[in-house]
Amino acid sequence: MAKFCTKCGKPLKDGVPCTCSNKKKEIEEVKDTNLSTSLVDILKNILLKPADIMKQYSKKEYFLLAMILSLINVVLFGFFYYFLSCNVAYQQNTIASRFSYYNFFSTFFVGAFLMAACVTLFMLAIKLFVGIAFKNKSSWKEYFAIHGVCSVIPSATMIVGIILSFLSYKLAMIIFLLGILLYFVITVYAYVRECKVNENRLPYALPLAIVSTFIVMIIVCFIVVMIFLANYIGNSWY
Amino acid sequence: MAKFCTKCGKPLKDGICTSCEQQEVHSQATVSSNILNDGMEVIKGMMKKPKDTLEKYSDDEHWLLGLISIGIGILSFILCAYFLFRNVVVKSGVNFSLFASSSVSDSIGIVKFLLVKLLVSIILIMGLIIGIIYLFNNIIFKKNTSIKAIISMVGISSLFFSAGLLIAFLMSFISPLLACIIFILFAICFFVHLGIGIRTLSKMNDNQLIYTSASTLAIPFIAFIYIVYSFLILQVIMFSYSSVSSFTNIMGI
Repeated sequence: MAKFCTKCGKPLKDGVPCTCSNKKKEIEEVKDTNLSTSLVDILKNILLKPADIMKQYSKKEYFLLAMILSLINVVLFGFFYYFLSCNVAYQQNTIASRFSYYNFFSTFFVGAFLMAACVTLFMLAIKLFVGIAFKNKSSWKEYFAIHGVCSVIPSATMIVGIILSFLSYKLAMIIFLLGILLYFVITVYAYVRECKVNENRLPYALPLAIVSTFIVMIIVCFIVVMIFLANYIGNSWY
Repeated sequence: MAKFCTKCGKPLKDGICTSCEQQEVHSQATVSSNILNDGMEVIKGMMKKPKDTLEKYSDDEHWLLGLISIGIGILSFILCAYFLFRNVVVKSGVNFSLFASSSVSDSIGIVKFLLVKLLVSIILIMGLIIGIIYLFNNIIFKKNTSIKAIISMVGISSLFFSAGLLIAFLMSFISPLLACIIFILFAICFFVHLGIGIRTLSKMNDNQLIYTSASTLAIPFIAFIYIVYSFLILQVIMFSYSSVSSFTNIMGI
């Protein structure tokens, strides 16, 4: 029978397990509560105290939180894309019933995929232009943590956009664009303040990152449309 | 009739003081040469160290330079937008003179209509940017930033964008698509410069800075999108829909 704990090396009493496993459970529980309280804190204060929230949560320790927020953003864009597509077609009188033409799963998947691709490409472009080309020392996780916290604003505007798309798809698109713009305003601020990006280099790095993402996304969209067209033509042929 | 100059007391020749007149001409030449020198320095500085340049020149003294820069920006924008539009129409294989001869109403030609609308819109957008910065700085957050400093900051921020517009204007003759990409690239540059400019100009705290930057960029951006949508894109699409079958042909891909 073992006399010492295999995890922490403390001497064991007969038949009594070491308390280190309990401590581990406690730490995990604390982490969980931190995650949920952090999430609530961000949602509450991102519009009231954006700078303070950025300062607190744009650290690599909050990478997991950023992943969750980013995932929420991707899922919301899938919904936004589906409802916008339906409402554009319906409001332009090209379809008789609002939800009859577009398949929910395929439209949702295309929207979510496009957003995920866009975020991945933007992160790559930021690392390339801000990190490598202009020699900023921040890590991937820090850039992603900033993205995660900033993505709360477009997520909120997408929810508003989904509701407004039933009234006017143009209004929904403007609200969505506004969310994206606010995302970039706070991102610029966070890069300067938290990542210590050189302000003399940022006017070059950020436009290059955005435009390169934009160009690659157009190519990705083109390929996605071509695949859909090929499938459609193939199905109708047979 | 006065025989002596009221400013320097010297005798007048035919009612004119030659000494004062020479001084006035000299001082006007000095001001204009200063503005020219400052302008050249600002252009160089905005390319190498935009933040330092914005810090150095965003003050009350350089408001005239800022105003001239805004004027150059407005003219460059109209030049770029008009020729981009014209070259898209020409690249699509349509005779532009035929298009230009068509009219919106009995008295107003379509080109004149577009140019006037564009001019009014861009002046309004520039005014909106200056107005929002002034509103947030002086009225909402009460930080006493002079309107002259705001004008110089906005003007200097727009200089790099003006250079980009001129490149886009030249590029529109070769490829309208490339010209559009250059336009977007420099427009984002302008927004980033404005954001940095607001930071250097204001004495606001970080949260207030974010509110000011967001409003300064978001409201004119929406106005710009609306203008592009209603005045240009819509007309290009309507016109090209009737005369050109392929979108790739229009963009010169």
